[in-house]
Order: sequence, then C-alpha cells, then structure tokens
Amino acid sequence: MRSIFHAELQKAHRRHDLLVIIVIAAAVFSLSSTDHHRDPGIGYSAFFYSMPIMNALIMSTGMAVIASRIWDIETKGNTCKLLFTLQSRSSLYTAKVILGILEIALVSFLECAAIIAFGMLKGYTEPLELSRLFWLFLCTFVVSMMLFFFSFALCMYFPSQAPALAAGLAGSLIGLFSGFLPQIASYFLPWGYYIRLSAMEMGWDRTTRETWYVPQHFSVTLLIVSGIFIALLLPAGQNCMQKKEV
Amino acid sequence: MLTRCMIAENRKLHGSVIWLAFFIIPIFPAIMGTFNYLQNIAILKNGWFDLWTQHTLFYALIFFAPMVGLYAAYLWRLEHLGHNWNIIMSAPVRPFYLFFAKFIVVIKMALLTQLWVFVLFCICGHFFAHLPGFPPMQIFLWLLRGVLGGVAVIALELLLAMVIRSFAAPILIALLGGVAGMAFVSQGHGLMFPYSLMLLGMNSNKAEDIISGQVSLFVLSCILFSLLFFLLSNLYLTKQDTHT
Repeated sequence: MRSIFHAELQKAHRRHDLLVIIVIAAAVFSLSSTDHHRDPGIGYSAFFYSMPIMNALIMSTGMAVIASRIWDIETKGNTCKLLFTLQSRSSLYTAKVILGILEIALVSFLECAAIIAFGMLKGYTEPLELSRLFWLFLCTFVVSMMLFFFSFALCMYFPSQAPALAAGLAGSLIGLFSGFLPQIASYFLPWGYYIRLSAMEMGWDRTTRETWYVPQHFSVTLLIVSGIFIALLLPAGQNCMQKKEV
Repeated sequence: MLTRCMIAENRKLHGSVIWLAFFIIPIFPAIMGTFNYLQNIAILKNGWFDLWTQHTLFYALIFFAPMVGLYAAYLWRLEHLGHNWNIIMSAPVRPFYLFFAKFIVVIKMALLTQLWVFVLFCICGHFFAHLPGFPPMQIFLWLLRGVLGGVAVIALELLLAMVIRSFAAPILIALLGGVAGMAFVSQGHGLMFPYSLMLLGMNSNKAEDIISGQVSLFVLSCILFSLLFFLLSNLYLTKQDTHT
C-alpha cells in the first residue's frame, strides 16, 4: 500500500496540489474577514460565525476541484487500462482517497491556523475557546470529506470532469441557499451542513446596527449524519471504480 | 478558416453534458432569488427591479464566471488530451483563430445562458412573485449589458483554460474571481477588475442603474480587458512551443 500511495504522491508532483489547497483556504479565510473581525473583543466569535458560511460557498466547488485533479491524471493519460492490470482497483481507490483526505485535512488545518495567526497579529482580547476551534476544524474536515467523496464518485462515473464540477458549482449555490432556509429544510441539503454545524449565531439590531454573537451547542447528531453520508459514499465510489470500463 | 474552426468548436457541444449544466444550474439562483424576494417582500417595493437584484446577485456573483469557466475548460479539454496540440497547431489556420473560434462559441453559450436566466426570471416573477405585466425593457438591456461585461471574463477564462492544462483550476479561479469582483464593486473600483464587469453590467446589487453616466467607461473597460487577453492568447499561441 505504501508504494501505491507513493505513486499517487509522484503523480501529484508538479500538479501544484499544495497551491490549490492554500488558495482554497486563503479564499475562505479572506472572505470570512469582515469589519467585525477588527474588533479585538469579538474577533474569534466573528470567525466562528462567518467561516462556516464561506465554507458553504467555496468548499463544494473546492472539493470538486481537488477530486477532479486527483482523478483527472488517469483520464488524461488513459492509464486505467494499464493500472488495473498492475494493481487492484480497490488499492488505487484507497490510495487516491487517502491523498484526498490528507489534502482536506490540510485545508481545514490551514483555515484554523489562519484564525489563530490573525488573532495574534491583531491582538484579540477575546479568549480563544479551543473547543470551538477544534469543532470548526472537525466540522470543516468531515463535511468537506463528504463532499469530496461525492465529487470523486462523479469524476469516476462520468468520462468527463464537467458533471463533477457542475455539481460542485450547484452545491456551492445550494450550500449558501440553505443558510436562508428554515432549519428543518436545510437538513436535507448536505452542501449546507457547514452552516448548520456552526456553533456560533449572530444577532443584529437594525436600529443601532450593533452586532453580537451567541455561542450555540455542538450539533453532534448532524456531525454523525455527515459521518453516515461518508460511510455511504465511500463504498459507492469504490463501486464506481470496480465497475469502471476501460 | 475561422468559420471552419467555429463549426468544429460547435460540433464539440453536440450531445455534450455541458447542456445539462446549462439547463440545471441557472435554476438554483432563480429559486434562491425568488425565495429571498418573497421573504423580504415587505421592504422590497420596486417590483420587477427588486426581483431582478435578488435573482442576479447570486447569479452574477457566484455562478456566471465559473459557468463560463466550465464552458471554456470544456472546449479546451480536447486539445489538452493526447497529442492534439500537435494536430491543431499544424492545421492550416492562424493559431489565434483557434482561440477566437472558441471565444465566439462561448459568447453564444453565454448569450443562451442569459436568455435562459431571463426566461426563469419572467416565470418566477409572474407565477411565484405575482408581479403584474412583463419585466421593463430596461432589465432586458441590463441582461445584454451583462453579456458585454462578461466578454472580458470569457476571454480571460479561455486564456486560463488554454494555459492551465487542468479542467478544474480555471473554474476555481473563476469562482474566487467572481467573489473578489464583488469586493471591487463595493470599493468603487469595479471597472478595474474583469470579474466585476459582469456584475456591473447586470446591475445586480441595486435597483437603480449603478453605471449610469459611466457607460462609456464601462464599454472601454470591457474592450481594453478583452483586447489584453486576446493579445496574451495570441502571444502564447504564436511564441510558445507546443507541449503534448
């Protein structure tokens, strides 16, 4: 398995995956930074509120991009026929999935690290709740993984990469839209789980234009639901690989 | 020769999965916009104009540039496979025609997308928002102006899809560019950033015309950016050796 994973790393050589990861994390972070983040008293809370929203907007397309780039090399090189004679299909799938998971973990880590770095740079006085930071990391990681597996299955199922990317784009729109929907309806839209898993709510007074943040409980049940989706999508992707005609 | 190139590019779209994306994706901003409009109907009093802002804000901000990126990446995709770069560069046509034919085809796709968006806008306005009559003519002109604003984005996305030999990367850049375009518009520098031009042309975040009095500057910006990307594409195609 180690050699198969090493082969995936070699394929990623000069593919600039790291650059893509940094761009995705930087985009989410910079879009999450609004005026409220300049207030050192509520800076971290503002990030805990805004980052899941921007994740919902960017990550669906971002995950489709990562999945597409991991699979695209086999499509462009027409390598499946050769690879399937040299290694088992499941080992190829596992190696690609591991690479994808590591990339997603890096994106999630970079987002959280950026919050800490920004807070130190701006001298936030609000104490950083490590449990909320870890929850943000965990939710970003799990929901992104769910979207990645969905995109990856589409990449393998269709000969073209267009459906996966189109689904990613549609997912970005649906994810953002789910934030406007009643809570019960948004549970049926996994692209928006970033927002529903957020552990921070914002209050706003229209007359005084005052903003405040209210900590919420951690929605462990929804995180488990995301885990169930992953458990369903993972074998579905493997099935796509097993049945892929070459 | 340009006509032959355009016929070849059009042929790539026959029975393509792109049409599925073309029909389905614009439905999402239409649903979002109508839902938002109905939720805020108490404060939105300008009828069709307010529905237009709700419909097109998400469309112009998030969807248009990546959709164009998808069209561009799809059209360049075949060239990036196998040894096709060698084949097309040895064809008896000027290299720039290869780019320009794709540009014309994506413009056609963008126009069709805009018309589909307009049809959805009319349906949502009439049947869900229960707005009287038909949308004002001005909105239809904004729609066409949006295509003019999108010309620079189309040229840029085609350039990116030609240079970056990845299907996905130009689409991600377009998504980020579209969102960054909003920041440029809100800072008042929309005419200086190609991804903002579509947003300005569509007049998608205000009920009153945001570029009234600046239309000539807007057109100039669209032309200059498009020319710049044409020039860069021509340079790339004529000076850069092909890699297959």
